[in-house]
Amino acid sequence: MTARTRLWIAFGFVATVIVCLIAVGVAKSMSYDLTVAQVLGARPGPEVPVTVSGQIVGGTVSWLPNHESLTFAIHDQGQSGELYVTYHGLRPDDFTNGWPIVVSGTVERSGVLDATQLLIKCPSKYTAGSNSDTYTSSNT
Amino acid sequence: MLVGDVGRSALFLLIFVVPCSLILGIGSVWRKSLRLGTAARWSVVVQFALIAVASACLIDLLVTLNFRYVYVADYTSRGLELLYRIAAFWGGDAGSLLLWVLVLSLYLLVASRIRHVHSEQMIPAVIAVMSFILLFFVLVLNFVANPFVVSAVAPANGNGLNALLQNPGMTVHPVNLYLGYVGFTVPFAYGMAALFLKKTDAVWLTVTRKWTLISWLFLSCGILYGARWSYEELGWGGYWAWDPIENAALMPWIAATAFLHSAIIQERRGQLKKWNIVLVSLTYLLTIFGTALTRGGLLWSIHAFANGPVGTVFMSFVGVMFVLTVAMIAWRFPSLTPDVRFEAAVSRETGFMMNNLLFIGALFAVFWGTLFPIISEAVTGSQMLVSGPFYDSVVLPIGVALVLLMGVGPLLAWRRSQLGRLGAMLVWPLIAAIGIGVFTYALGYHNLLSLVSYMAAGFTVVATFMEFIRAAVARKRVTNDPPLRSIYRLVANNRRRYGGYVVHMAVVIMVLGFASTGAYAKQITANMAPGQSVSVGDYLLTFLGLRTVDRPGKEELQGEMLVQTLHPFATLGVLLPSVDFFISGDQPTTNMGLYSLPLDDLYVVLDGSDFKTGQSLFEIHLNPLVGFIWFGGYLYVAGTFLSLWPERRKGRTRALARRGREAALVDLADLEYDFRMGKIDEASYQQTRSLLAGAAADRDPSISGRSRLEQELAARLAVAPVKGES
Repeated sequence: MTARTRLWIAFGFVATVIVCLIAVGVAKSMSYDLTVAQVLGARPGPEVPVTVSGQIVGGTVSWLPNHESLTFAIHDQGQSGELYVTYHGLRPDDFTNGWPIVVSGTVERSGVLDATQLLIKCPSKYTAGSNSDTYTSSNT
Repeated sequence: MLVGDVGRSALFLLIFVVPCSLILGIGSVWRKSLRLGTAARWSVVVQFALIAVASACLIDLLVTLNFRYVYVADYTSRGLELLYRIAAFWGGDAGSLLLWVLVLSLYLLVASRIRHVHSEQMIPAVIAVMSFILLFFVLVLNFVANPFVVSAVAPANGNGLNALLQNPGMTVHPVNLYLGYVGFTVPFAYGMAALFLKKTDAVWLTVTRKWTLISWLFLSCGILYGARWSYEELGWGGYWAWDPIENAALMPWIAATAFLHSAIIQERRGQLKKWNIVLVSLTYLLTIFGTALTRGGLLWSIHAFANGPVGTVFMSFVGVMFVLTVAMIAWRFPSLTPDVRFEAAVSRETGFMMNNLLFIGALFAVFWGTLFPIISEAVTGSQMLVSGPFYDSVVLPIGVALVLLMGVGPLLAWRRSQLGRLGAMLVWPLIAAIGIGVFTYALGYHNLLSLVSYMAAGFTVVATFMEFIRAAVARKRVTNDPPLRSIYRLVANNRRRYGGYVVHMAVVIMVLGFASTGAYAKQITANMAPGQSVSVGDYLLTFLGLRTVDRPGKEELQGEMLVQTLHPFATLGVLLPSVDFFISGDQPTTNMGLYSLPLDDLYVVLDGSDFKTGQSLFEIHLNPLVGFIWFGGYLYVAGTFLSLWPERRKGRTRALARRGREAALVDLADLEYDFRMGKIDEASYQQTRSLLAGAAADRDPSISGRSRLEQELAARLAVAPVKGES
């Protein structure tokens, strides 16, 4: 067996391992990225992990510090349908009306999304004005 | 208005000047005209002067708060500190693009003055490539994101810079990223010029090595400082979220790191020419792809970047550059043949190739994960995404393999390693790794990935240390220099190599931090009344009460938290996590309290308070070894500087005389070290040595006899004439 052949076998093996790691990693951590309207329409079951993008409906936010329980609704921009979310963990800073949020978790049979992670925009460059908030919060 | 008019006019003039540089560069290459080449060089000076004027004008408008200009009104306000008025230069789309252009034109100016063996032919081609890229930015600045746009009515005050961005990090993190991103344009332009001119030896790599290394250092600092800024400012207890925008900066860094390693093979052995041109192109394309992601709103990110037209324009530019680059590589592919073939499956060269395979695997994983929403939607019609655990499960194991390879790589001999000798050199590192594994397991640290990371770190530290000692001993034997002098000379004469080893050690230290925080960080929330205590790990935290402090423009609510250790019982100090309430009515922001110890970070966030009772909710993180990440970062910079420091022997001549005596002497010197350090046996040594000695004599007729060659080699090794093993 030539040096070149042995090299190709070794590299092929390593590349296969990497591809397998990627395939397994995707299968384990993949979730559907949906809008509020898609969740309300499709009603995915609690066995399907979902990630839902929307905007916070300010008047629905309820925060119980003693229970570390945060309940709120989100909606698609310019749409009326609301998806209620419960989250057990800390309330992010500046949890304000209309601010974009991404919620990951599963939708219970009641239609409420039980969130394991909240992602809210972080202030970064390029966006004018002081209207951006920050937080990454997770209880996973 | 005058200053703004001057700035706008300077930007406008660039629409004509930059194409002139492009045409002059192409003309010089086409006609092989030195006169046109000189004109191209001078046009570069004009480019830089115009961009510098435009930049100075924008800074003047920002500093003087001229709200007639939309950009100034968007990113500054009355009362904003001078430092942040200047930082607003890169705070918005248009300004940051102007900074990009300023850095690019400065780099082009410097690159156009470099002299080397092919400079008369290559520099006009480099000017043409970089001017083509610059032209894109100039057009965007003039027609898509112009920082000198005037509003009909000047507002009384500006929007100001976001409160969280009013942080010294704003002056460090973005600028470092730009300096890194833009810097990769130079090696890319040189690579394309080398391809076009069929100068596919290692000259372009040698000339641009420092550009690549400096750009890589800036990008590394930008990424690392961004992580630290996030950790210390945002109050979430972490430093990396695998967000698309973060990945956008990581991807070119991975490609550049692979390139830095593979370039060594081409410089030393004339191999991997195709791969190097692909890697340098990939690195550059990823910098503009990352910028397109950042500006385009193509993917959802926790970072609130713009969704304006700049992203779309950038993505189109990525497409154009991709097609042109692929076409150029395909056109000149036949000229990229290696000087020699690989001699053995196990050698230093193949070690570098394995390193590249692992880096590319990590890059592909990050790329795949980042673009998975787009890919999944295109394939299945449903948008899906992957989160942090995906990256952790793929990139971290690859990272551990790379750490192990850092230990094995230096033990490999050039050309051909002997497995028996390699195995013997690996015994002590393996014993150390197993010992560390047993010890940490016995201490109760059972997380598999972190355990393997600690073992890999121990393996690599011992292997690198022993390699260094072997080299120092080998040198001492033949020179009879005192040990300290021998070590000093060894490092001084091989700064590139030992600078690289220092960077490897820095990475090992950082890996310890990543592994520990990833596996053993603790987080609790505590709803506490004044006087109550809570223990986290070996620390006792007692909430003393709330207090308010008036600050300019805001009121700060502080929670006083006494920190004590339990074993032995001792008081460390008081932490003051706080919340800022702004008089302007802006949303309140939290400031975490951080107590950094050598082995732990105590990180406390005040999350809510009842002002009447003082009852407060705290989020408390205990992050082990997080300080190792930042300390490793400093060592990383030091190692890179060591690697950058010019060697006494002109390294440049190595590649410029690749087929000359210098190259043969370099190979002979390495062979001597490999033999004396026990990497190869005497038979292999003698065989390779006679080949190299013959080649050196053939290549330089002035070396008439063996004794002359021995003297030359001795001078290179800084030793007495070599007569075999002493």
